[in-house]
Amino acid sequence: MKIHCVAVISRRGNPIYLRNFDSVQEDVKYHYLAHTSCDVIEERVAAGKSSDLYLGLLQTVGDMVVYGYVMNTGNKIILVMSVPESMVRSGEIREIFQEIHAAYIALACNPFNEKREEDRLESSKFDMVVDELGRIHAN
Amino acid sequence: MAKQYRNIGEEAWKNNVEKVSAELFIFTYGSLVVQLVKDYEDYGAVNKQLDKMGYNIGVRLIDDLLARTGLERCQDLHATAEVISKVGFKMFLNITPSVANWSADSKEFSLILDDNPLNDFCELPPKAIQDGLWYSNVLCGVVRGALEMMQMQTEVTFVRDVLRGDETSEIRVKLERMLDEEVPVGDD
Repeated sequence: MKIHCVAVISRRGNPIYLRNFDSVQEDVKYHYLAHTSCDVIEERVAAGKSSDLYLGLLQTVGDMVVYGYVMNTGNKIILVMSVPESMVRSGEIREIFQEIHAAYIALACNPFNEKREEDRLESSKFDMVVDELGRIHAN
Repeated sequence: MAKQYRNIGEEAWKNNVEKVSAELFIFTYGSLVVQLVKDYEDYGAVNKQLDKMGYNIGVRLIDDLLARTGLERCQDLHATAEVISKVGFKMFLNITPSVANWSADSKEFSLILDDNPLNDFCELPPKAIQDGLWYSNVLCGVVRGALEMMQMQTEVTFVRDVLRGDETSEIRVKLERMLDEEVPVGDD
């Protein structure tokens, strides 16, 4: 399974991070996907039966699947992947999200981080973690 | 001898010291460094301030260490180095840096810190790296202050730091001279 895009959207709904692993598609398509996924996320969270951070499969668009994860602070992580040939365990996707969440926490705890909530995420360590994930899941 | 110091250090850490949340400590230290950076705007000056603060901590810390462990005066610098790494650092930070890179005249050595808890979560901005900020410089001051109370005048500096991209963090301790019994100098 191949990760096409990792996106982080803030609590207020503005995108604060987008990493596009796809050389073919433009960023704008993933921005669009992230936005439409926001609505789905809000539905799921409002339905809110479980307090699980991992939201599972949100939607499928063409040949891509979109998974979602919401942090306790309300920030959302969107993962766009290509449709896998074999069954993909939700545990694996959950792990990917947890790694991104951990990297986000590390970024937030950085004493030199002056960013406010709505600002874009700019951190070489966070980029490295996301790049590594994209590299591992690139087939 | 080394084993004995290691045991003393572990004993002290287990029984004789009160613990505090690591996150609280790291965040406090981080805010301190960031505030200094904002106030001084010159990374060299921040390094000096951190060293000064560490010095003031060190001169008081040594009494605490000696009281808790009951250690006696070390015979030579080798023993001193062992005490610093296996008892001092262990008791207060729960890490044991390794002692290495002794100079030929046995007056200089390095403390190699594989894992510095102050560094967790910290990411230096590129300008800080360029201008030579040593984030954990307070540790150098602590060692310098403690040794000065044991009548050793030393120069203690960072030479490598993982936050700046090196593989490990390394503190160089250089004994400049032994001080004779004098009236203690006032605080900086």
